Order: sequence, then structure tokens, then C-alpha cells
Amino acid sequence: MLIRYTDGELPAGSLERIGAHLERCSRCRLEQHRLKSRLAAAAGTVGMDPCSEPGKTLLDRVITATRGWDAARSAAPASESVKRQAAGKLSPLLGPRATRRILETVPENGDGLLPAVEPVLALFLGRRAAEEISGGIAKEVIVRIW
Amino acid sequence: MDEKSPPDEIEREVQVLYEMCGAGLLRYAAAMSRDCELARDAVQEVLLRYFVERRLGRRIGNPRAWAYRVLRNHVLDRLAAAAARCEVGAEEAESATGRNDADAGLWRSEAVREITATLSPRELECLRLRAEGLSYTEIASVMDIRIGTVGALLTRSHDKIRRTTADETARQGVLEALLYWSQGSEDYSS
Repeated sequence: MLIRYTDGELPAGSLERIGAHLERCSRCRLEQHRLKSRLAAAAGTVGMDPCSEPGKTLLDRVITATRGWDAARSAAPASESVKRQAAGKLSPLLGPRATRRILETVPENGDGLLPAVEPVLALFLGRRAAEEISGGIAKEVIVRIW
Repeated sequence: MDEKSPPDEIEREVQVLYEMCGAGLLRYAAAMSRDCELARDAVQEVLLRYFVERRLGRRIGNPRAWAYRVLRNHVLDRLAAAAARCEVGAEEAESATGRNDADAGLWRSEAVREITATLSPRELECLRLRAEGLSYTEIASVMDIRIGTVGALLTRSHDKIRRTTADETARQGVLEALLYWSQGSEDYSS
């Protein structure tokens, strides 16, 4: 309870009650102080950073990659478009007719692909699995297009 | 789009996400993999995934929780692939990922090992995410567990750490860690 209080993760009523108690009770205040020290030390111990800070280079690399991906998407021939790749992944799951129907409104470059596909997959597989599969499609598209 | 053109909306989102939690993502990936190069590649991959999924129309309500979740899965996949390639146990797989000597100094620390060894992988992971400032709800989303389980894991971690830190060596380790953090050093092994 004290950990959740210290983390601010209790409902408002409980937070107030425990806060009021801590103001009156020096023993609990001491315990909370010890708790904070231990948690800070433990967090430091398990979260230590063995790498240098990411710095601007990493961001630059990411931005270059995003622009490269955009350029590759625009230049991709129709046979390798994002839509075709997605269709290739979805067909075995949903069948060619259903896949065509679902992707009807999606342009070749894949804009709006995930919101078109995910709700349908979620009907059969549940939200989390649908998210995993559509995330997998996005991952595949990154690798194959760029 | 050429490289000097101004960023569009989604590119700006990527920059904001990077500024908000790039360092935290890198720490988390490095703590999981103990391999700086793998960690950097993983963070880059996650940010690119964010960009691509947004381009393909995904709405992401909590980008920070999303990024940690995708990063976690990505690093676990990479570690599993490395272990399968080498057909060795977890310990050897760690060295197969090629961490450098400077990093090894950190992981050699007896005290750190002693504290982390008392925690289960899930407790350790939960504590790491909490240390990065994620809320219980975000941790639950990243680890795919209930919020109540997050609270239980943190409580158990705390109990174990309290028992461990009764030991003099481990207590010294905690003090070292505290000193490290209060000085804001970039290299724990120095």
C-alpha cells in the first residue's frame, strides 16, 4: 500500500487518508522515507545506463530512415506497392475475395491501410492479435520496401 | 522528399517521441540486451516503425507506452534469434551479442548482480519500467499484464530488495548506485 501511495498510484480517497495518517505518524513517515531510498537505489541499480546518451546522431539516422522509406514507397513499382504486400500477407488469413474487399478503399501507397484491416482481423482474432498481425505487416513493409 | 526539407507532421511526432523518451528507450533496451549496439538499432527500428505505422494510418493514443511495448517485443525477438542461432544457453547468448569491455565493467559489479539476481525477470522488468517513469497503466500495457499485477510485482521486488539489502555487500552496492545517480555519471564502471 505504501509503495502504491509513494508512486501516486492509489485512488484519490486512499491517497488523502494515507497522507493524513503520515502527517500524524512519525513511524510510518520514517518507513516511507526508507522505502523511497530503497526504491530509488533499486531503480538506479536495475536501470543503469551502460550506453552513452543517444544524442543527435541517432535522431538524424531515424529521420534519414523515415525520408528514405517515404522515397522508396513513392518509387515502388505497383507490383511491390504497400497495398500488394499487405494483400499478400492477408490473403492466406482471410481469403483473396475478402482481402480484395477490405483493401478496396486503400490506395497503392498504403495510406489508411491499418485502420481498414485491423477491425476486421479483430473480429476473428481479438484486438491484441489483430494489432500484432497488422504491426507485422508494417514491419514487413519496412523491410521489403526499403 | 529531400533530406533538407522541413519535417511533416508525422516526422515531428517522431522527433517529439524521441525527445520525450529516446534516452529512456535506449536505457531500457540496453538493460534488457546488455548490448549497446543492439539497443541503438532497436530504438531506431522502433521509431521507424512508429513513423511507418502512422503513415499507414494507425492512431496511437499513448506513443510512449506503444514505443516501450514494441521495443520490448523487438529486443526479445532479437535475443531469442541470437540464442537460437548460437544454440547455446542464455548466459552464452549474452556474450554472443557482443557487448564491449566498457559495458562489462558495469555488469561485473557483484553488488548489482546480487540485487538483480534476487528478482525474477518480470519483477526486474517491472522495476526498470517504473524507474523510467512509466505509470502502472503504461507498464501493464507494455508487459501485457493487469495493473494489479504491476502493483504486486513492485511490492514483491521491494520486499526482496529489503531482504537483500540487509546483507552488507548488497547494501554497499545500493550505496554505490545511489552515489552514481547523485553524481549523474555517464560511466558507472569508471
